[in-house]
Amino acid sequence: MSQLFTSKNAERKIFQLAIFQDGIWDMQIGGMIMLFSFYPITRRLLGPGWNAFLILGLLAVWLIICATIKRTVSNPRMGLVKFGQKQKSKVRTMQLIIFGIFLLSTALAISLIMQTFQQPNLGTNVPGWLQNLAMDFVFALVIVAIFSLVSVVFKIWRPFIYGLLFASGLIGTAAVTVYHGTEFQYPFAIAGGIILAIGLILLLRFVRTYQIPAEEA
Amino acid sequence: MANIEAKETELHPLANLDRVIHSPARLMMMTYLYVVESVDFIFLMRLTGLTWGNLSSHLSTLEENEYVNIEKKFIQKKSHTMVNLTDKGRQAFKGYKQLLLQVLTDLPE
Repeated sequence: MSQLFTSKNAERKIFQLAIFQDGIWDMQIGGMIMLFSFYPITRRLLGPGWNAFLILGLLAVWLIICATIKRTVSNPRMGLVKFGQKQKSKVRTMQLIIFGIFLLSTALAISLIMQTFQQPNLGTNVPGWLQNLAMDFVFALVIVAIFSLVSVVFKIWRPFIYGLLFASGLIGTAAVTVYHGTEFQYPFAIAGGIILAIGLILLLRFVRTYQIPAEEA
Repeated sequence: MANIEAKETELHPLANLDRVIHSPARLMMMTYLYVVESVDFIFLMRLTGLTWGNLSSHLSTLEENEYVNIEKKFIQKKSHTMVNLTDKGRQAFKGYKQLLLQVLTDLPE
């Protein structure tokens, strides 16, 4: 059944076309999560100060690359929209969420490596694995909640799936760190890689679907 | 004669509907323009699914009635058209919505 044409649906369609259609948002998130997979390796090689500098530098480069793709590939095909006040505040909320995700990820990555947070004592009846990963499960739930919020606000399912992937990556990374002590955080790399791949597929589909119009009227 | 016409208008409020907005394509364009500050020509084309010529023709009608403001600029030697709803257009759209609601709300199930 086709969707009713209401102003709410019109607004939703504008958001979907302007922000989510080209896959660049997905690529940003995927790339950011992937950055944390090699955090422990570069930290050992460079030390905490230089490592933070490197990660922030790489993040800035990645965001510039994504912004350039948006400007040169997406904008000529999709055009531009200036949102009204109400929509601007929604976009600002989403930007804050992305920034929050980055801060949270950084804090989590550092905490996982440094083992700074104390796992709560859940009693003797609780299995060992749950005891060891209790805090990580709490962080994972927070991540899923944040991404679900984006899904609810913009009425698209992808952020929710990404939240689940990111949370799985976090639990996997925590388990790998606790039980194997591996430096390369491959669960983060896998989660980020899947999201990045989805973003790339969406971008390719976008480029094929939307040709650059020949000449404006 | 004028009296009869006035009475008919009272009896048929739909006769007062703004015909500039009432066309499906223009109604769709006005709805999109109502919820944003401004859009460029390409974005409006993607939103509505109208062809270049069709969109251009409907935009001209809206511009002639001062419902939209069309601003043409050249960016890197390419023309770039931004469209936004004027105050008159916004008021007309609100009036259209109210009148249509008024007529449709009273319809029996």
